[in-house]
Amino acid sequence: MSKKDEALRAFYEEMSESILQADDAELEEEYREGGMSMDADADRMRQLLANTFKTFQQRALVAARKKHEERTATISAQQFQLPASPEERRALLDAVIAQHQQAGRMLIAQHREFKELTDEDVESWLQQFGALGLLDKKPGSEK
Amino acid sequence: MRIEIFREMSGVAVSTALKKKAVRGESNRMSNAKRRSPPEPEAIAATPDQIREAYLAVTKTELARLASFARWRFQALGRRRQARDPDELVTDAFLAILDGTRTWYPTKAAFFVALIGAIRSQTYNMRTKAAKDAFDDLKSIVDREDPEADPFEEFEAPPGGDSADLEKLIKERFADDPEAALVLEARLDGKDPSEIRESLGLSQREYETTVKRIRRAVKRLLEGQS
Repeated sequence: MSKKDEALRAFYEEMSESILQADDAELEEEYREGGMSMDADADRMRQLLANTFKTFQQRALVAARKKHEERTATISAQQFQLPASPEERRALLDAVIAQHQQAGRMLIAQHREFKELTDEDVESWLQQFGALGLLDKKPGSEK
Repeated sequence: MRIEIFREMSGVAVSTALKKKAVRGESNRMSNAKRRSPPEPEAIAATPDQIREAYLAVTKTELARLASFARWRFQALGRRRQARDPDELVTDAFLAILDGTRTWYPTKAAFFVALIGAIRSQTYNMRTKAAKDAFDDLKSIVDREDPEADPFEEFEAPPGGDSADLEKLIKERFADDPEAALVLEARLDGKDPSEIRESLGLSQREYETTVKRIRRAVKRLLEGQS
């Protein structure tokens, strides 16, 4: 920064400090002189602070939502190589729930009878179990 | 107290020993009182609820003062404004308090004071940050042959961001106010307020009154009024 710019900077900073020292009447007078409404400017500032506070409060919510969307996108993007025929896929699902009791309970909670499962349901469940890493696990690895 | 009573009762001069004893007793009582007084409360950072209450309690005049302060600080940034506006200085300062980047201790300072302090600190960082850091995302702007060169120098000065604007003001506006003209001229020469007061023989109060006139004239200049 040149010496001239530095002097100018110091001058304007002095102006900013002097406005803090000015009495209320002086401040109002300056607003009037500039053709500005002090009330309107104060209201604008209050709104600015309120918006900032609201944005800050929503930050955590926005971050959590973003994280959830990212996880959902990751799961959707993962496509596991499943057996070609519906029968083979159903057999794989039976094998997975036989090996992983918790997975079986999750499935039973939604479908009382496995036979009610459509081929699409089977594929969807296998993809979800795949995203959970259950398709790669060897029998007996679940604790 | 005891000495007075003794004097009244005996009607004779109190002996030096008794006086000393009385003074010692008074001193001990004071020390005990000091020991018993509650310790100063430890500074505790404000909670979000306290911050909310505090910002809602800022008065109309304080809000107007805050807006004016931000405008002058923004003006002081000159070429280093980085495409911002004065309101952003306020927003960023408030966010810094909210996210704890800047801690506000309600027992130590009023919220308004903390907010002003945060703006000061923020503009200080903006102007002292090395050009090459400020342009992290725009490295191509930095001169490869002279990486220390300040790329901000290439930017066009904002209104009032050139001392020529204010020199014009000295000639035109302060033709009949030599005190203001001299103070502003000295300030633009890089003299600090104490040097100026001394060289012009101004009291603190006279200096502040002159600064007030200058501030109003410069404000009009920046607002495009004559």
